Amino acid sequence: MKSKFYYIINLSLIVMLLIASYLYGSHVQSRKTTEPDHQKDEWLAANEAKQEVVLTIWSPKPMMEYEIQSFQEAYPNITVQLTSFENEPRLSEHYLHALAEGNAPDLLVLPQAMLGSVNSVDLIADLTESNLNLELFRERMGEYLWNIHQSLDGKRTIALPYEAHPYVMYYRSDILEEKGYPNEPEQLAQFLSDPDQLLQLANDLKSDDQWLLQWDNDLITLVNNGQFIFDRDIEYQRESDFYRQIIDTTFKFKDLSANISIWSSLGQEMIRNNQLVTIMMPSYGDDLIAEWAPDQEGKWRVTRLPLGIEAIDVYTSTSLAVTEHSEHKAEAEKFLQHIMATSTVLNWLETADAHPYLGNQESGKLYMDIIKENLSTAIPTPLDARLFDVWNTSVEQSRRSNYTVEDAIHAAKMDVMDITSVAQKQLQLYIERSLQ
Amino acid sequence: MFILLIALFLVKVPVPFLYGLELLLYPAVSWFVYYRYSLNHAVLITIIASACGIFIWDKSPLLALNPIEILLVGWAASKSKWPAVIWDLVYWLTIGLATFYTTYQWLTDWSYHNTLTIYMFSVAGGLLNIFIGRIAADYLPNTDDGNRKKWRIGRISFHLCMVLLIVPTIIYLLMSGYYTYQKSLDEISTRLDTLYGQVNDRVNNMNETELRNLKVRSAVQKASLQSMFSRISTGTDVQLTLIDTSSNIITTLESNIDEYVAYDWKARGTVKQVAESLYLWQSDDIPSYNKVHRWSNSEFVSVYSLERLPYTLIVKQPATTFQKNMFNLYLLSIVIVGLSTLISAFVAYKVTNHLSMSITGLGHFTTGLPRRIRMRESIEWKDSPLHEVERLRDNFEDMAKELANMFHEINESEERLRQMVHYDTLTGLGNRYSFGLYLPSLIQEAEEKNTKIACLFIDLDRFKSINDSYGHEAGDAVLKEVGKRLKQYDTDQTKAFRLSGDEFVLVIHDPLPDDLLQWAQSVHHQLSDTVFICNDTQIQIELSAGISLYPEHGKDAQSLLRSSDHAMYQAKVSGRNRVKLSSGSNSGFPKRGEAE
Repeated sequence: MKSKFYYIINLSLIVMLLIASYLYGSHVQSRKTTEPDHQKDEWLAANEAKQEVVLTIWSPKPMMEYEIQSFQEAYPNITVQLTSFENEPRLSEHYLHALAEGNAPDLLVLPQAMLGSVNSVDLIADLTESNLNLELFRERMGEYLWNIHQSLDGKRTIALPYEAHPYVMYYRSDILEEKGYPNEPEQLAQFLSDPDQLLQLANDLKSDDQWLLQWDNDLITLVNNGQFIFDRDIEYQRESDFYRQIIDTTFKFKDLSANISIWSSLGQEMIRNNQLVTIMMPSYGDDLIAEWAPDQEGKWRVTRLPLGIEAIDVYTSTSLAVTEHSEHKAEAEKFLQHIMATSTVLNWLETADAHPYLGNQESGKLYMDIIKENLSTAIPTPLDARLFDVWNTSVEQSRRSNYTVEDAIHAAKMDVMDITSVAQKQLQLYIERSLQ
Repeated sequence: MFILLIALFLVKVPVPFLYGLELLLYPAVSWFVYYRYSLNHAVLITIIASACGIFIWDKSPLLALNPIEILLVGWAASKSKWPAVIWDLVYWLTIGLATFYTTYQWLTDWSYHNTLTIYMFSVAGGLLNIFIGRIAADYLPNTDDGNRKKWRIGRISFHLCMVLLIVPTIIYLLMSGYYTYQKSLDEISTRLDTLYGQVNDRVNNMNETELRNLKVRSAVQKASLQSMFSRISTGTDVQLTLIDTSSNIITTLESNIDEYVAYDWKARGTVKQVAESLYLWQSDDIPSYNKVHRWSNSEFVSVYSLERLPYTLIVKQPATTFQKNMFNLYLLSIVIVGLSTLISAFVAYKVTNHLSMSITGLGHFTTGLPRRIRMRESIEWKDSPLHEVERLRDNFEDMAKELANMFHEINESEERLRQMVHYDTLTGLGNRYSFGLYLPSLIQEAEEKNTKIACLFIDLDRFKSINDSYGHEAGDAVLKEVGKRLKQYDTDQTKAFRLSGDEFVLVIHDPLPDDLLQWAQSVHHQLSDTVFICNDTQIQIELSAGISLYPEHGKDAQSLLRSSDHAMYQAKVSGRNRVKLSSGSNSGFPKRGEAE
């Protein structure tokens, strides 16, 4: 009897021990430390007071005079100092050296060809940590522009586009109409998307000593200047059917070009003499043509590039980035916000009025459409720097050596990979690991 | 109280193995109490010790399962013939497996690392504790030694085998664990130093562009360094991380890490220096009682400064690889000890057969030896393969033979004495003393069973003249012959006695012959035959006999004998050489000898 009593007592104690142990274990496990949220406050304007701040900007050329002036009127305590490196042949090196040594300015104006050099360095500030309404900008600029302004791993926004110049084709509407070709912009773009019709037009023009292209390799040059080489997975992008068609067409353009540059006086003279019927150049070309041939006002129109080529000039298009070292990120953010709200140069945001020189064609809307409809998946990468020239040189050599299209494409890829294959693999592994 | 203190001490101070494994011996105290005292006391001590371990000394809540093990296994063992070790094995394969698995998984956030090792270690620990408790209970001095069970040589040999097996194994594991750990630390230090040397050389040999790209933390340069990190650490699980002066990550092989947050290798952990330039980092996210789980997430860390840049290289060697290797050794040891235990049990069984069984056999056939010798039971003296036991057996056999001879002589003397007391030496018939014992007991039996007895009193006629005529030798020959002839009536139903001289009595009990007198006359006729004595001399025997009947002629031995004596007298009076039936009245009997 006594033994049974102790047995029951022991059972009760065991149950109590189990319950207490369970509660104790649960309590200890719940004490695990949690990672505190990192909230960067350097984008918050701590000094709303009227403390004088100097905001430094480096740019590849003198620019933004109007924007800086209006910004300083709005924010009198912030002085903007813009330094132009117009004659600096190694702008990218100069920027990177300053970033490495910690003496870079608050803001950098970058030709979009330079985006690849900075979208993979950590010393460019992440704009997603700012208070800018990036989603609104993304909606307005379209996915292509948005994508090329992300960091290489796609995790950060490293810059915002300031100028974006799509390549377009200016053409003499009156001459094409006279020769029985479509002269409406969309109809002409549709007509010239066929390589044979493009060659037919070139041949027709040549018979009247009129020209479609400045140089035989114009198509290759502009696609090289308007598209990047690798996608986000660092995979080579220039061996698609699209490139095959452009190279094939280019190889057929023998003696069908004026062999002269519009930047020369002779070239501009040919414009005025109605010999250059089409000009393929970035979207700032309307004003230039109007300057070179004012008498031809109303005769020019603008449309998309032939063969469905999508290209935005990476050398004249510029972007704005904030440096990581900047101690004035809040002010830099204000400047960016001001630029986005007020700039008249911001052609990816503002649609220009109908252009009288282009027969009141709404060219701004066309440019914006071309930018937003760009489906290219290629993005800037740190491998790009020397590769534009390498690829262009390779294809040009193939053209001159009468290579087949396949051989030319293969040779171009080999030339690119000879330089960059090791770095490409390393970069792929690095991105793959960082995305895990 | 002293026993409880020992249990508490053993909870607080476990036997430490490597990488978080601990052997808790306090259940051995509980098993000691179980074997020496009672199950209830054992369970109570386990509960108290477990509770102190969990809530005071930060031991694993798994300890809460120990009282259940003691309770169930102890109860089952007390109710069956199987030993507690067998029941403990059954427990660990059923309830123990389920409860342990669930609890351990819960405690380790349902991660499946090392569960098998911990389980096997717990099973081995459980069995070992029972073994230790049993040995302590069996061999430690006891104040109540008088009631303690005697030791059995088979069990002693098994215990000895197990102790000789387990103790060196544990010592070996502890010693080899210590040296392996020290060797591992040296190996890790060397490995990490080598890696640092390679990274430092690589940075020292960078050109200015590479160096600048490194400073701006370019992805190309980071990828290049990361590729190098991967290459130099191929085949290992070493993780390298390069950080700048602001703890920004330049590049790293660590996964699941936010590269844009300042890197702190000491964060969320406890750091301990284990060698000159080697640190051990253990996560604070894992409760300290989960030592094994904590070790599996631990890292050995070395921190180096680069020569060319003010950058820091942090090289981590996860401890889990070393833990796995050591745990594999432990698992192997447990399996070997388990197999060795089976072999020991087999050896002990054989030893029991050959040694213990020999001694036990000797004990068996010497048990009650004097009685068996006296009762002349057959004794089988089995041979033993053991020399000492064989000699002991021979000694016992000699002694038994001597004893048997002694008993035989004593029995013969006793028999002779018995013959002398109960039998007439001349005729071999029962004597008066024997008759005096026999007849009363027969009458008592007849009285109880309500049966009848007849007593035939025989007296030789003119025996005196035979003695006088032929001498006493002839008289003795006649008496011998009569005795011989009466011997044929010495059966289960009839008994013959010589009372004295020439007086004989023949007693017969149920079922009596239908005609008792005729039976008496047939006896008379059998006895009345010629006797040949020496020289062909014939002597005709004549005799007179009287027969009396119980209970009609006497209700006790004396009156019955007297009645038959009287009837014999009547026969003599009426002419001798005849048989007379008692008339029933004894009055007026002539004195003995008057009729002669």
